[in-house]
Amino acid sequence: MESKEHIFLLLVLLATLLPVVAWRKLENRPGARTMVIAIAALVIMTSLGMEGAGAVISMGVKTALLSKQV
Amino acid sequence: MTSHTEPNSTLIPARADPDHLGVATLSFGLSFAVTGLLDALLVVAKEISEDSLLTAMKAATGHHWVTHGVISIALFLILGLLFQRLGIGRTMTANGLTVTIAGSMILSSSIIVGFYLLY
Repeated sequence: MESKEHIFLLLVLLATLLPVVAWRKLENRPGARTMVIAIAALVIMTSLGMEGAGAVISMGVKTALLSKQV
Repeated sequence: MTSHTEPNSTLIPARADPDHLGVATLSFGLSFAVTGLLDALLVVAKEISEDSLLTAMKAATGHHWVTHGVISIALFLILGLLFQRLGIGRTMTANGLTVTIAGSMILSSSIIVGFYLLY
């Protein structure tokens, strides 16, 4: 949980960087296009990773509560 | 020495910025790489020194998370503007900067996750 919270800060900075890179027209700048795609992919993968970590945490809570009942 | 100008940008020598990313992209991209690593180290530092650093961060804004966020964003902006002013990173290529950003993200995440796994 703590890891998720702290990695989120990196995500905020990455999301702030994205419009800086994409600010001017991209059609004549293939390098900038690649960067925009790469940063967007990093944002998506990090978000999905955080969702997965959240799923692991909630499964762990459920398992602990169920075993407590038994 | 040939040079080129682009709308709304400062004069940049042709040998710098080979992929025409722009000064802001280069500066703030590099700033993210540095800020990400410092952010991870700040996480480790504040968890290790709870009595001093964490307490000081709590006292600064009322909650250590707010202080941490303010420090991260401020550092990102200040370093970005500083690199832009000093011309640091101007010769980087798009691929080089992309790898630097991705590498910083992976390393910072690894430091944070690794620390909480071991701590």
